Order: sequence, then C-alpha cells, then structure tokens
Amino acid sequence: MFKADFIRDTTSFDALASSLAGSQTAAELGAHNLSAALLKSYLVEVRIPSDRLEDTFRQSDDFKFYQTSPGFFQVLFDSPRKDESQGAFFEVLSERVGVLYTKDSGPFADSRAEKLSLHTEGFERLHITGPSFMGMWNEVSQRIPGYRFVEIGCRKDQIISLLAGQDFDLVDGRHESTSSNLVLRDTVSDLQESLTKLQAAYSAFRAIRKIRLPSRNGGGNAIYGNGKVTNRCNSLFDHRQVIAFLASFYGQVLERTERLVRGVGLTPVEGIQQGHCTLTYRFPQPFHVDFVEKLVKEMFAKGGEVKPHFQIRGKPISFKKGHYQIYGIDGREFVPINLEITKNHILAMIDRSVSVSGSVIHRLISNLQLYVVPPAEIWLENVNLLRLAEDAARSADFDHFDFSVLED
Amino acid sequence: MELIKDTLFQLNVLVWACTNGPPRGWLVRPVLHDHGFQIDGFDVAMRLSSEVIGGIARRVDCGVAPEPDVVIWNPFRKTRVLVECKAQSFSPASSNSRQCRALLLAAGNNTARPIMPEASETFASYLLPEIYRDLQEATLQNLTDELGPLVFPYHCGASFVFGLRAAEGNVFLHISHEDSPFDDYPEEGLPIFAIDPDEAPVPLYQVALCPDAMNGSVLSSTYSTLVFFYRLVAELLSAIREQEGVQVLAFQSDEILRRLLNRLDRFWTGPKRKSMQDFTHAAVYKILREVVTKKSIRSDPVAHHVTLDDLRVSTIRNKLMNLSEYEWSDAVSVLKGGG
Repeated sequence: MFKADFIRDTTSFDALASSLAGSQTAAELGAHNLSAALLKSYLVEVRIPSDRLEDTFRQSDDFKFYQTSPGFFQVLFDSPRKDESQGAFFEVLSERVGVLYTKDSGPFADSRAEKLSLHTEGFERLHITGPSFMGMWNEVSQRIPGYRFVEIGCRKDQIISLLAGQDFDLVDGRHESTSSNLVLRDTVSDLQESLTKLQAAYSAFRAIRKIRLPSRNGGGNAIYGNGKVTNRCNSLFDHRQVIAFLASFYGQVLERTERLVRGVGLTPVEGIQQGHCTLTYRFPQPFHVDFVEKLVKEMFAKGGEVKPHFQIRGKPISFKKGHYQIYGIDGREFVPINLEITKNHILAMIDRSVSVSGSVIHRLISNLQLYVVPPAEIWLENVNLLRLAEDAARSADFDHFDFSVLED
Repeated sequence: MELIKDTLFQLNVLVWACTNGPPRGWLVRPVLHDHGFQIDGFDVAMRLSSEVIGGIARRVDCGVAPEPDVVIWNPFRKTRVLVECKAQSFSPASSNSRQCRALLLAAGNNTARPIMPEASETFASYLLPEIYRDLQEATLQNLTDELGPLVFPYHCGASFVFGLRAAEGNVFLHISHEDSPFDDYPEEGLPIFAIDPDEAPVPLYQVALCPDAMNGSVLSSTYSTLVFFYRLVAELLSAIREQEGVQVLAFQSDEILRRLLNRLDRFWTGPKRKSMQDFTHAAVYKILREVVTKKSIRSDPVAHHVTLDDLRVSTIRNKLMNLSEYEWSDAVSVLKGGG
C-alpha cells in the first residue's frame, strides 16, 4: 500500500527540510525558495522487504545508510568527489517505490542514482514509457487549469537506420548524431488539443521522456522516464506532492502489468489461459526486411553477452530474411522471454511466473521506444498499454496533488 | 514446408488456434476458438468400456486404449474432438489401423476420462498435411464401414480430417465439412497465420516438447531441437536466479517440464507425461554435465542437485549462456551426450 500520509509525516519531512533548507519545518517551507537546495530526486523500484533494507544497505560499497526514522534514511557517499555533497536522503514511499533526494547537480546526482538503481541488488530504476506518460498526461492535464504552461519532452536515440540498404553515415570515422530531443512548451489546453495530432503525424512525439508539471508558486517539477524528478519550483512541499503522485502512479502501472502477466482475471472461457503473457509492440509502419536484420544484430550479441541497450540474451533463429524467433532470457532478471521479430512487430511471450516483475515489460518497451522506433500501439494480452496507464493514473494518489491552488 | 509434418509444430498450431491470445490478426488466427473450441487435454489416456471391449473381442483387431494426441472441447455445444497428429495418411492395412479403430469406437461411444464433462457428440479426427486428407478420409470411411456390422450394437463415431497446407507463404487449415462439427467452415480452408510474404508461417512454440516428437534422445526436427534446447537453458538460468544464496542448486525436472509445456501441463494427465519428465530429467543432466563436473552433481529420480563448493554461480551462469550460442548440431550433440 502506498504510504499516503507520508507528506504529513513531519518527523521525516522536518529532517529532510532541515538538512536541505536550514532549520525550517514543514509549516515554513512554502514561503522559501528551495530550488537551489534540492535539485533532484530519483524514484527507484524497491524489491526488498522494508525490514531487510538495512541489511542490504549495509552491504553497499558506494553508500552508507543510517535510518533516522522508520523508512527514512540518511545516506552518506563513500569518497565523495570534489564539489559533491557528502550525502543525500532515501525514503521508502511504498512497498515498491523509494526515492533518493539529493542536493547535487548534474552528473554527480545522475551517477549516484545510477549506482543505486543499476548496481545495487534489489533496486531498479523506473521505466516510464511513452504510453505511460501519455496515460498520465491524459489524466493529470484535466486537473490543471488550461492556461498554465507545461512542457513535454520527447527523445529518441535511434541506433539503426529504418531505411532499406542504408546505415547511418560515418563522418570522420564516427556515426553522425542520431539522437533527437523535441520539446513542446505551451499551455495545457493547447497541448491537449494538439499532442495526439502531432503524434499521428510524427511518431517521435510518442517517445515522451519528460513531462514538466506546473507548481502553485511558479516554476514546476519535471518527471523523467527514468524516475528522476527535478525541482524547479519554490516549494519542497510541491516537489514532494509530485513524487507522491509518481510513486503511486508507477506502483499502479506495475501492479496492473503484473496482474496481466500472471493472468489474474483472465478466464479459461476466453480460450485456454496460456502459461505466458503476450506483449505486442507494433511498429508505426511495416519496415523493409533490412531493418529487421539490423535490429536483430543490434539486440543480440555473440558469446552470451548482453547488449547494453536491450539486455536480452538469446540466439536468433531465422526462417527467412526479416523474420526471427529468439527463445532467450532477460539479461537483468533472468526471466525466460521468447521473442518474434518481424518488420511489422515484436511479439514477446513472457512466463507467468510470480518472479516476473513489471519492469521486465516496461524496460523492454522503454528501450525499443528510445533506441529503435516509437510504437504505433502496444498491447499486453488484449489490453492496450495506453488504456492501462490511463487507468493507473486515475487510480493514483492525488490526495496531496492540490492543483486548485494553481488558480491563484 | 517440411514442418507441417512435425508433430510438435502441429500441436503448437492447434494450441494457438484454440487460444484467444494476443490482439486478433497479429499472429495465429484462433480459428478453432472462433468455433467455440478449447484445449481439453493432451495424450489423453482413454479406455473403451468393458461392454464395448467384450462386444468386439475376437471379432476385430482393435486397440482398447486410444490415446489421442490432443482433445478439443466445445463447452457450448458439448462437442468433443479426439485428434491424432500424423505426418502422413495410412491405409486400412497399416498397423496404425488398430489404434484408429479404437479411436473411432471411443468417439462412437462417447468414451471420455472420468474428469471430462459428458459430451453430446464426440468425433474422431486426424491432423496431417492436406495432400493426404482425401486418402485419410478414405481410410476412415473404410474402417468405419468395416467396423459397423462387426461391433453392432456399438458403433463408430463420426470422423473427419484436419489438413495443413503450406501455400502463399502461409499455412492453411482445411477441415472436412461432412461428419464434422465445423459445418460452416470455408471449403477452401483458412490461412491460420496473420502474416505478410516476408514472414514465415511458424509460430513461437508454446509447447517445447511432446511425446511423439521424442525420438530416442533427440527430437523429431531441427527446429524442435533448437526450441527445446534454448528454452531448457533459459529455464536453468531462471532456476539459478530463483535460488540465490543457496549452497546447493536444485533443478526439479517436473517443474522445468511444466515451464517447457508453458504451464499447460495440467492438460497432460496420461502416462506419457512420465516419458516427457524422464526425457527432460536426462536432458537437464546432460546440459549440467557440460558446465559442471560430474562430482558436483547429485541426482535423484526427480531432481539434480549441484553443490557449489568450489563453484561460483556466475561461472555456471556464464557457461550456460555460452552454451546457448550453440548451433543446432551442437545442441543435438549436447542432448545426445553425457550420462
């Protein structure tokens, strides 16, 4: 269950506030500009029961954790680098999600968060996909006054050419940059009107990687696809509201995903209930078979290694050019995952084991969207992932997300 | 396309055709599900009733315990179809006819396993390449005509043939109209894959092993061997992950088999399940022997245990992952080799 009252938990909140903003208490925070003090927070998926967290933290080479109150830890970094602060805070928000608060900026903060989410056993970064962002946007945008400005960022970092017979040009021995960032900054009502049309016209607009929501006192909080939330507002309170919402939303997305993976609610009358769940990632248009050949080469390394972009191991079996099957395994969680790759779609069959986490699904989607091509549609079983995300957003905790004050 | 003769391919086609799975039109069309059918069992061990057995004794050369490869069931029409998968047809003089007579009598007398709901009608059928459909229909007719007067007052069930035909880059499923529960099925057959010409009509296998695909220590086709090998290696890696922190890794053969059968194992209740378990048990040992020493493995009839005394989990994992790079010939040699 999400710890809905954590914002009102003044013990932990005061500890955080006092460390990050001097001697303030929760009641005083709204009046102070904290944007310089608290720059970034990183939500992470926690796969360890809370009573085992301290043990896990004790084994970490990179961090020292000291519990200051239940579920709230002061974090000290081993050998902080020059200009880096000595530590941060970690808070358990729910059974599934925790957050690392840090005052550091730029690469320091990103690097510490990466160490926690990628290299610490039992933690995983968030994978907020384009459809998840879209579902979140469809729900949240209805609660924000239409005149407020928001920002939506889309990013793709295409690693293969989608065109037949063509690879990316080499310039001075290096590939030219193929990454693109699109930023839409406009009023909520204008973006509500035009975002879907833009997405229909240009698939890169489906690769949403960031949404910046306005804050009540100006500025805002930007939510990134990896779970980072940057504070560009004048209120730690608002920042924590966004974190609370995101933790609740992502928890709902994972829970709904895992219910489908495990077949909960599917009845045998619908046909036999298979021992696997199917994920269908449909490309925006049929590509040339060359695209499939390049994609398979990029996804699967020889020698059992894991390609960093996709983290799936397996030996592709080809029936004809442009059609592959891979009976492989997720390289991070070691869950069997069987894939069919054609010029039209990627179909994944994933085991219904209880050990399969929703992250296996959302990591795969997130990487395909970023490094290959944003999808036309994604289906988990017979459920469109956008609908799943919209449902998750509707059920997320808005209790402390008081948009009404934005009217001021 | 040779695969349409392969039992494991045929069985997976039937499973997908009964599955209302991913969004429609994107994989195998659920043509049997659309007619209300679902999977009811695999390798179902049946036995003709003692009355039927007594009635036909010494009058006809007939098996008494048919074991259809697949049983499909329509709960709305209470119709059951007993399906035998074959690579080709056979003549009434063939040794296969003994089992075919049992299948016809099982269908005609509504034979079922006790746990199966009572059917209003049961059909006997064969699934084989379409080019053999006419011949097989003739055999079925011939055997039905022959049995009729001999087994009176018992009778043969209606029978029909499923035909698989590779054409236009797809596989078509044909079903006889007469004497089948598919009276509105198109005569020209239906393409069962929703694919375009650049895709091959081969589904991802839900089921990685079936008794008729086992031929000694190897499987009936290259593709079946590869699927079994890669999925088995993936399951071993997954089992290792699930046992983090232990000193002795346990590989339970029946649990691994369950996963190789895509958890459809509940439909496999007959004695052939034991042969699949034995096959899997032996294959697990052979693969483990490729990555750890013999003295590290302790085996009992249901599991293999690997002691990690001098071994690191990461070493075993890396060796397994390199194994999964094997081409099919290597996979066959691994499955053949070892203990």
